[in-house]
Amino acid sequence: MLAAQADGCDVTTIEGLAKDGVMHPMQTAFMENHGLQCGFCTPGMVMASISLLQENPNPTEEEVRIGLEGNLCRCTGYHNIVKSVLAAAQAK
Amino acid sequence: MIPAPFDYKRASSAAEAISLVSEYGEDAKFLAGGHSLLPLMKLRLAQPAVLIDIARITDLSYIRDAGDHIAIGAMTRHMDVEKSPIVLQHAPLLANAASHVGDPQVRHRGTIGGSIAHADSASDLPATTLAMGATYVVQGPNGTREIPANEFYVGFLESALAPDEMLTEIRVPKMNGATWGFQKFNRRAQDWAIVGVAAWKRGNEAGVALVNMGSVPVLATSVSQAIANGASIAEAAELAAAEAEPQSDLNASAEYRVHLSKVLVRRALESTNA
Amino acid sequence: MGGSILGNRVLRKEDPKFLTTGGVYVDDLLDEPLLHNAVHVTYARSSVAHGHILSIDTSEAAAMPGVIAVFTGADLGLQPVPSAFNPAATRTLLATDKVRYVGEPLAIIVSETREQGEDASEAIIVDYDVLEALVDVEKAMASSLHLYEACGSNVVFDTTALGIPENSGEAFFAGCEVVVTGRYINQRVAPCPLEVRGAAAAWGPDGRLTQWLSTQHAQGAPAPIAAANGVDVSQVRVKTPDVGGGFGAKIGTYPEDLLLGVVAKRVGRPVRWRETRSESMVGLGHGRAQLQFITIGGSRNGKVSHYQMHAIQDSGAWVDMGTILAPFMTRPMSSGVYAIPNIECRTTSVVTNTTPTVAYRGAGRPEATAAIERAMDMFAAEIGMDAAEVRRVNLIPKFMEPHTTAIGGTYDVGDYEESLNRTLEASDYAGWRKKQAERRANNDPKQLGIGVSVYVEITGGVGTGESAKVEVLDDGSARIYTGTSPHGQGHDTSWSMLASEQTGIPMDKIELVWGDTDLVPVGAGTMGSRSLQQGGNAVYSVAGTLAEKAKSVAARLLEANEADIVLDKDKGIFHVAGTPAVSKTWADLALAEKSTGGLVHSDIIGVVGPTFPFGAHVGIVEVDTETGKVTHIAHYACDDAGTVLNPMLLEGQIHGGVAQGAAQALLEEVRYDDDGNPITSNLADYAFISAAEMPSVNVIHMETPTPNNLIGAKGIGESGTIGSTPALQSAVIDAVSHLGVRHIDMPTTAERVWSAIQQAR
Repeated sequence: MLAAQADGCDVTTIEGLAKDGVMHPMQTAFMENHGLQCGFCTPGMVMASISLLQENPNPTEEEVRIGLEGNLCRCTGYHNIVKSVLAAAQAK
Repeated sequence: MIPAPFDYKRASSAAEAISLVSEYGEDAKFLAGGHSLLPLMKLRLAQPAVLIDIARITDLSYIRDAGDHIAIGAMTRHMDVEKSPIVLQHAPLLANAASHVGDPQVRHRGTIGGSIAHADSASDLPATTLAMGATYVVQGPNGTREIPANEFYVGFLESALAPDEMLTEIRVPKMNGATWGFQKFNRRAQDWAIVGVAAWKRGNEAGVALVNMGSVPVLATSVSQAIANGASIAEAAELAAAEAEPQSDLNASAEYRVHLSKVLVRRALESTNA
Repeated sequence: MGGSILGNRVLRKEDPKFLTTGGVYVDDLLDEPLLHNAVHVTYARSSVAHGHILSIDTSEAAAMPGVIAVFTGADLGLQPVPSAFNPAATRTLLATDKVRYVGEPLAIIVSETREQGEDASEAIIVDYDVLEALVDVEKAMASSLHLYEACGSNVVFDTTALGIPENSGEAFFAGCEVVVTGRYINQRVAPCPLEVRGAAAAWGPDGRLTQWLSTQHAQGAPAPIAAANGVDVSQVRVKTPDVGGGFGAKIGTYPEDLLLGVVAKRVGRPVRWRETRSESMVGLGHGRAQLQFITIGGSRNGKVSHYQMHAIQDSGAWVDMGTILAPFMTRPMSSGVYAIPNIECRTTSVVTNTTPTVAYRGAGRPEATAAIERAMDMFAAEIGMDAAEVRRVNLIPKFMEPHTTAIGGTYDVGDYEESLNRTLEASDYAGWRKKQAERRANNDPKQLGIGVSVYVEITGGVGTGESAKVEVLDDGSARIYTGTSPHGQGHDTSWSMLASEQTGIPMDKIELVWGDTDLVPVGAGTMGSRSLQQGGNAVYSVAGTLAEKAKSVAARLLEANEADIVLDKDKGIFHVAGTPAVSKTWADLALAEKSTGGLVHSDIIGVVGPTFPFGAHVGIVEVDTETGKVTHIAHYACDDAGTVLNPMLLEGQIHGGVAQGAAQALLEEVRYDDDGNPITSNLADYAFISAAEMPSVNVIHMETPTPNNLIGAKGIGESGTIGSTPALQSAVIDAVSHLGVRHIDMPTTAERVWSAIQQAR
């Protein structure tokens, strides 16, 4: 989308997730489950994963995979990203 | 991957949008969710001079039970169509098709009106609403008019909308217990369909439309006719491509598309979803 | 007492940054003082695949808003540069006389903003005398039209030039009971790192050029950059910011990288360049692209005695690294894990009017493995033997001393049958075969396919060792300098583990420095799965030597014999054996050595030779026989990389490797039309694999240490790709083999599978 379309909206990015130096549970889950390698897709993956759990708090593995179809990663093979999201869902 | 320069205007009402498009004429394009138009602009396949952002016209985002049909505001997002209890109850085929559009980002931002007005035969919702016998309400400088879905798609990315008209509402007949199936065949979950089928059946009555089987969404009237005449689903499905003129492209040959359409029409009609 | 940290699932030190503020990639260097007021560079590219350039008109572009300058190769006085792999092939870094592929850079726009550069690039008018596009290697071999006239042929490298005879043809197989032939396409794929290419360049007040580069090998860049800029290599400093993936395609430098300093000098301002995804899909090197003719022969009892391959490598439009992968990586590995007494392998590399090919995850070995594994399957099908069984009877028996194959590959250690056994058991291979039989009996439209591969590859084939430096700072923290170059692998964590193991300095007090050629002048970078076995090995060795050095300092300070000094690694302190109350910390020692050059050790540590990781994969697919649609439903991977430093990182490498292998087997292919126009140049058309197309991957552990380095580690970066690709191709064919299908080329798209079924019927 165009940045202009977000005019007047609140935009949360990866930089805004941690509170008082404590990572968001999704960030923690990615760290604990090795859900990132080169880090380039990571901000998008984490934000999409948080959105996914907001809409579906207890997804199956398949639902996580389909839910992340719009975010590409070339390093992880998605295995540990999916694991991270499932772990974050469990942790709630 | 970087669009050509353009100007950006935001409309807060349908009337304002129409007035803006009248002002800028052919150089202007409506921007709804942007998930059809912006990719074309990034590849410089589309280079509108002015974008008129209509996504903030909140009074065009609604889903209403209107008696014999469901009325959906053009700026209603795919995700809202997919999850709407009204759509799930009365037009579950549409809800299901909406759930297959693009990926979650597309479904969060993209709108049913944007998808239909873009008139891409490879998109899911034009064919689905065509199969369902929908009517589109459009607004222009001189008021509103209704266009039946089967008169709306006139060519490749070309609709019956006049340049100064805007799609405002989609009216989908209630399905009243018809069985239905939506079949989307693609390489990857996020891709456009290589071939897609939206179909419903109620006794000897059936509606079938095909995604990406020609330059426009295709209403498979031969299939419906065969069902009406008492043919079995398998027999009728053999006629799937009778009205289609599929092309060969990167993802499939025309011959393969014809084959797929038969398999997918059969599967869609055999579906026991209700 | 804490035990060794090595071998543990240690979480990554890198992650908090990536997860909270994000990495700092080359395009994020906004606060870099040297890049203040930088201008943007955009490359105008050829829109035709093959043609003589008659004229390039830049006048309109030069007059556009924000445009500072436009340069052609002629404007810059560029001279032809020979290929490192065939000096008869020469090109200018911007095409001047001839274009050879769509996307070849031919002019430079310098502008205040990127967007202005993109607009102006459309206004550059090039007049071409269009030549026939040679897209296909066989056509290019046969054509009298030569991309590089001075080569006298489109063949730019052939193993016959190395004194290796041509294959002897059918006569080779005289006496074989069973002979099977195949023609396999190991298709062209795009590496697709998420971060595309990018760089920035600035001339400093000292007259030196600093170039930031998204690269896997900073130390390889100064020489070509210096040559392109006409300066001595000492005048070039390359710095590597975070790198968003490379997969082999960011090993070398590209013309777009090399010209930035030239442009910066011309316009008197620093420059930035970052390509778009569309550019990256045609500008970043591609991988694979081999056409393979194979013949395999043996006896009806399943024993393979003869194997012959002629691999035609598509070099693309430049004689780049792809050219030499076939002779030097594919050929030595052509025997795979099998004891085949008679092998011939010829390779021929051919230039075509397509994007040049380079190394891509596996780089020559996936091609070798895919060929022999496919050949094994076809041989098994011919004699009616199970795919796992035919492999078992031909495997090289377990060896713990170097083993040399008939083609001349010398492997370090191997226990192939054990890896096969573990994988068959963990995957319940027999159970899948039973399920498959049931579906076949029921004539189920959705059939199961089971693919088996057993593979061996070569890692650490690049470089014979690596540099490392470890220094201890005044506060007792340590800094490691490495010639390897992380871009996702977790070097910071791994190298800290190794140094901490040797020194007792906590991991969080260890910092890693890489990719800055002023600070780390010697290094072979990260490629060919060499990092741990060479770079990690060097860090381990150098940190160990530093600890010994530190003992002598401690002995001096404690007025004791060096032999009596012990390093308590749990506490990170030195004391005389038996008297821990009186001790010296690393900080004490560093301060004591400050006046004499500091507490530091630096060395280049060699290894015995490359290593040969091996393993077995079982891939399971479901094939919809009515449509041809393939679904990857389960995967089992046993990848033996020797001693494992951090199982979590190892598994991550396997998962990513399997995804790229699955992508090649099932989905991805770079394609051109007959005129050489790329038709997969964005990620909507190129079927980049997503999470929805993958199952979870079952990793089966096995560790057979190599004697070739101190750690016992082999490489793991590429194994998953090498093992999974043939397993999955095989699985798809297996699913429809009962219908008479013997072979389907990759990617096994739905239409290909459907067509194969139609043809078999």
